[in-house]
Amino acid sequence: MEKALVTTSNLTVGYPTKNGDHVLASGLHLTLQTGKLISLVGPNGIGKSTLLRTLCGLQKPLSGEIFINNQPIDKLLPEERAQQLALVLTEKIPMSNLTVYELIALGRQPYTNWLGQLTEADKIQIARAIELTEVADFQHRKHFEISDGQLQRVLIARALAQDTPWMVLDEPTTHLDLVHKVSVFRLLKKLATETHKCILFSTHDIDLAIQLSDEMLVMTHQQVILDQPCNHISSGVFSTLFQDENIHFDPTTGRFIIA
Amino acid sequence: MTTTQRHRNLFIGLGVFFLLALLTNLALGQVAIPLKEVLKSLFGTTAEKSTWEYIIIHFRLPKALTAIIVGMGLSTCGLLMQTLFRNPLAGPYVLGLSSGSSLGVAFVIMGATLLPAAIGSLLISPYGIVIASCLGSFAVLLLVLIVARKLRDTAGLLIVGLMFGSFTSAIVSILSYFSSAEQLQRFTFWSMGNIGNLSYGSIAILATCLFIGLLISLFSIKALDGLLLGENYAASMGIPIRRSRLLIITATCLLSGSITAFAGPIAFLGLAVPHLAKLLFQTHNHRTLFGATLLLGAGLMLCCDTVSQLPGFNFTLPINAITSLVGAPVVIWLMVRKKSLL
Repeated sequence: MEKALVTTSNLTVGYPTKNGDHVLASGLHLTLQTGKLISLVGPNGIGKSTLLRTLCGLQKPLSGEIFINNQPIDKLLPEERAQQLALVLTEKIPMSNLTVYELIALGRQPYTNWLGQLTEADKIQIARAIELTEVADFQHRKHFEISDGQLQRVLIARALAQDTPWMVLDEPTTHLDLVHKVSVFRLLKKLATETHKCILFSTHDIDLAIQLSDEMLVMTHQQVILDQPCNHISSGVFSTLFQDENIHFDPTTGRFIIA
Repeated sequence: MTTTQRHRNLFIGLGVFFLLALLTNLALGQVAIPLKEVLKSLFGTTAEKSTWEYIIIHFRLPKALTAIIVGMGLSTCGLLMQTLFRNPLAGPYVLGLSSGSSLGVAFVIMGATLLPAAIGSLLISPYGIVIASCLGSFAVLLLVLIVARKLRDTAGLLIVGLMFGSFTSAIVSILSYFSSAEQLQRFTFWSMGNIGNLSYGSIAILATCLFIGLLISLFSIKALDGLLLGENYAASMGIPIRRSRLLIITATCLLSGSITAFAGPIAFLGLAVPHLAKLLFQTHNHRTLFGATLLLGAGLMLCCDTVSQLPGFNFTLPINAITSLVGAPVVIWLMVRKKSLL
């Protein structure tokens, strides 16, 4: 049974400026369920990252509240939050000697003792993450020696090892070619169904997201709507996504067409 | 061979290296003393010549202890800073922490006369110098941290460290212009780095600072591991970033400040040792690196000290020159083959 995992109540997202608050989205009442792959789409500069950061508790909302398992997210201790939410970010990993295995093992930090030693239970979780993401072949290589596509899978494996009900990824498919984009999408889809996690990710690959997500969070200048992809298509929200008369959305094929 | 086995062997090797370095250091000096006699004097039995025993107990042992403390402390300092700044070239000397300490000490040694006599004599005590030195390095580290937030690249940070170095030496030269010959001499000797004539009392203060600094570092190991992925990832894995950063900075300043106060600014050791440890152990796990840096740092410092006063020479080379001779090529080598090393 899928249940509601993350809920927001009257959430207003934006950032304070000198001339008052800059509101990007307001009055959000969202419910994210377990076992669902949810994509966040919208044009550049609309505030996807801000929304994502706010939902994760990295940034304060202008007003309203976010609950995870009915607990307000900003009241959780860092370690408690780390056991609820795992992140995959766009930022580059600083240079270091870490192997792929060591990098994935860092995901166990919320559970390890004060010295960060791994127990047998930790090692089982790490092995499971490696198996699910199929990164075993290069687990002993240094993290800077593998390709971008492989690194993305490794970062997802690290988030999996963190063993959280909720996983948030910021544009996990940028810089990847079509084959690797599809493989990341399918991996996320598989993880959502098999591990019953709620997986939320932002992306610019809208046509792929339409085909593979369970739900889509569409962000336009006027509104933020969460619904199934087919309902989004019939409501015609995709045609209003880009304010450019040369780009049209074709509801029959589910693709954007350039005039 | 698995990694754990390899690491165990390496640790045994490092332990042996450290012991050998210690014994050689005790045995060699302006007078070479046979190893057997060194061991005899250390373990309480009377040595063949009472002068040898006197040299070992009152001169070489305190010097060796200081070398061990300096080596361990500065190397740990470098390890902490390299991870905190996500920068392979960070180290107490390169980033100007030692310059900050110098400035603090210069103010105390040469500026104390400008103050009322009572405060002046209080300042010039060993404790006064330690506090001034720690404050100096703390001030510089804070400034570097602020600058590091604005510019993230290696070169920028290094240039800033260099600028702090020039800045402090400018202030020091202004201070020396107004100070007496005696004060100036004292400061110059201090700035050449000297681990020789420390009393057991000073060593006790130094050891206490080292102990506290290492203890704080030990409690920061998990946070340091998390920080390898950058601050945002570390935070997402439950590391309390602000508290950890504060702890790491405190440990760094305590270690580099106290050591610089007593032994003078020692160049490059803090930068080179963590890299050698990473190179040897091929890991970035801070539990392993912490132990490796301690042993390697202490051993290398002992070696540098041994080289600085080999038998047959009637003089002692400044320790700073030796560590620079070893350390500077390491930095150049790092810059050239940066990618493969980090």
